Amino acid sequence: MPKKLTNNKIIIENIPDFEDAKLVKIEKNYFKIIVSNIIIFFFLLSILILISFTIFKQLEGFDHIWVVAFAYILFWPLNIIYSWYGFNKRFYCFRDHDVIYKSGVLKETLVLIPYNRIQHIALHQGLFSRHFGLASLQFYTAGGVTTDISIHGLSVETAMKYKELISKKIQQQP
Amino acid sequence: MNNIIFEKFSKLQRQSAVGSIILFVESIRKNSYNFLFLLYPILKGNFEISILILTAGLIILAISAYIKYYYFKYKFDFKKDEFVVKKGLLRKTKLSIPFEKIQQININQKLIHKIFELYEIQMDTAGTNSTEVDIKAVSKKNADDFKLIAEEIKKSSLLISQTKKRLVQETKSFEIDLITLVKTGLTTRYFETLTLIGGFIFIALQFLDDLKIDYTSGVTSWVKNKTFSFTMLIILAAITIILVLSINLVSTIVKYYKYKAIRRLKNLEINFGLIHTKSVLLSPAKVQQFHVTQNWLQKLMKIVDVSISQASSDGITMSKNRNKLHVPGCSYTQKEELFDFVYENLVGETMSMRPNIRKFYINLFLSVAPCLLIAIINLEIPFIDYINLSAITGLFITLSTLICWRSFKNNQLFISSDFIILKSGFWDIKTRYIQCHKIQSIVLTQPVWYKNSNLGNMTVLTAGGKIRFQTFDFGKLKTILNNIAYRVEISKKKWM
Repeated sequence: MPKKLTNNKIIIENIPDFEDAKLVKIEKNYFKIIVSNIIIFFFLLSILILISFTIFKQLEGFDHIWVVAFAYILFWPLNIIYSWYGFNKRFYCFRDHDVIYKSGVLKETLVLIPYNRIQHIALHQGLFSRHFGLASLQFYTAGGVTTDISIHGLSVETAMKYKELISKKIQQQP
Repeated sequence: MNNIIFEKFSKLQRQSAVGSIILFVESIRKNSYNFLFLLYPILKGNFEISILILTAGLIILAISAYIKYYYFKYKFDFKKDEFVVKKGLLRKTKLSIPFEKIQQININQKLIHKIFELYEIQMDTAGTNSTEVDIKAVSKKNADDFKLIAEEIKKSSLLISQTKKRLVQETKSFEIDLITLVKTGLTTRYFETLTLIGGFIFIALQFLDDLKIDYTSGVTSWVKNKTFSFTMLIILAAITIILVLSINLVSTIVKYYKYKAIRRLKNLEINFGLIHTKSVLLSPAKVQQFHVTQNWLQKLMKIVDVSISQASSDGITMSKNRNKLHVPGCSYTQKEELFDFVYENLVGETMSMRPNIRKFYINLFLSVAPCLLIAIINLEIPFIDYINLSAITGLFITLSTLICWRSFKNNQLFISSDFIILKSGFWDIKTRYIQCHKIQSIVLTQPVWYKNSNLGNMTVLTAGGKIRFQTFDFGKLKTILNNIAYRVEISKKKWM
């Protein structure tokens, strides 16, 4: 068992504080992609539900159908509003030696990956992203898939720039 | 000659054109279960519909296979020392893997590949269990060239690690005798074995059900005849305890018989097993986590359980179990010896931290809530009589309070200049050691309901598992985050 000592030298003072880093918000256009994804999903799901109801006729005679339908319709605008809050909580920052990504509405999560622990980087571009000139960067570490950072909604130029930059830094390591 | 190959591969390459057939076959194989749904219309007598859906499905799979083939390109970027993959039609992905991060390149030939004389190339990086790059189909010549390039680029990074040749010199480090194994067998893994027995009984009951043997009437009549007395309960408990102990004892001895560690220069080779001898190689550089577990009984006998997780460098070919080393019961000196061997430097001075008392309240609430809920329901719709209910509820609440309080009391975090140490548990008290420079990433979370009390959670990830510490002072966690980040970033040591 380690000895119980309270010696503050273990904590080094005057080192860079992650809170001093200027966190950058992701591109405004990315919210459009979020909304379009939600709308597409809404239409696909609704069509599926309608088709299955007309085929199977399960709900005939069910009294509260309008309450359920109302709740279903109401869910989607609420979803968009929640996404708006979530969208405004997404920040990233590329520091000299690490990348920071912060997100989450009910549970604020901050992930920090030092560049010298990154295995490789992937740049993704979806159909909508290409239209808006956006891209997402994904950083892989050996720590497991759960915390690999994936930053969505970067402009293509920024994404390319940082991909090059960080790739170079990964190479330089001993 | 080499230059021609290098030049060829530095341009974006597609897979072999026949490769789309292989992709097609693979996607059929992956979707084979979905084809079972076609049986449904056939059973209903609609044979034509099945055929129609089948052809439509096959056409879709064929098109997607061709798209997958057409939009998958790879190259070696020798200027940037990277391997680059571009793929995807709708969601385009550009993946680049630095040469030195490539751990292993496998060239396989499955049955379908043999028909077309093609090869599959898989590329792995450290840590994760999945394959990062999977080139499904290349011609024999390309595979050979690929091998050549891979050897060429690996040479530079391998040179350093191969200079030190292993000496044949062997020194015995330690072994664990039968008595210690007996001690360990009798003192550990109660809960695991209990759940195992529970699972076994459950499966047995299921089996009886399947055989349509009605055991319920027999059991109820048996219970009614022999009124549940206090002695009956004690006998039942004794039988369970003896069963658990004997199972543990036998399994521990069979698994770890003749546990012997031999030191070979920089590595520790460990052999054990009665029927099937297993061998694990422990190399300090690869160690990610060091766990020391001890419960109250083990404390009395002065033994501890040690388990060590290592990062795999062999990628997917190595099973996960082989990276985890378990030392069943070693003395304090043996533990120290092992710890010194793995870490060389000692822990040094530490700063200790405890979680906020809220952790206790939250855990207590979560464990007691279901019981209280049942009690409240029972007040409305009585299904257990009042005395029994209050006795059970009382016992449950006392027990969970005790467990929660002990786990809260045992939860402690130590920070030293090189280590992060977390102690936790209520019966088996586990101490986990992580070296700062082996940390891969750090996650700091704060739910909104912790904001006012300024608390937060933190997860520290290594290539051999993670540790979480919850409900700690948020300000201190921030300082720890800064310090870990700083130490990882200035560290010149390799993490494996």
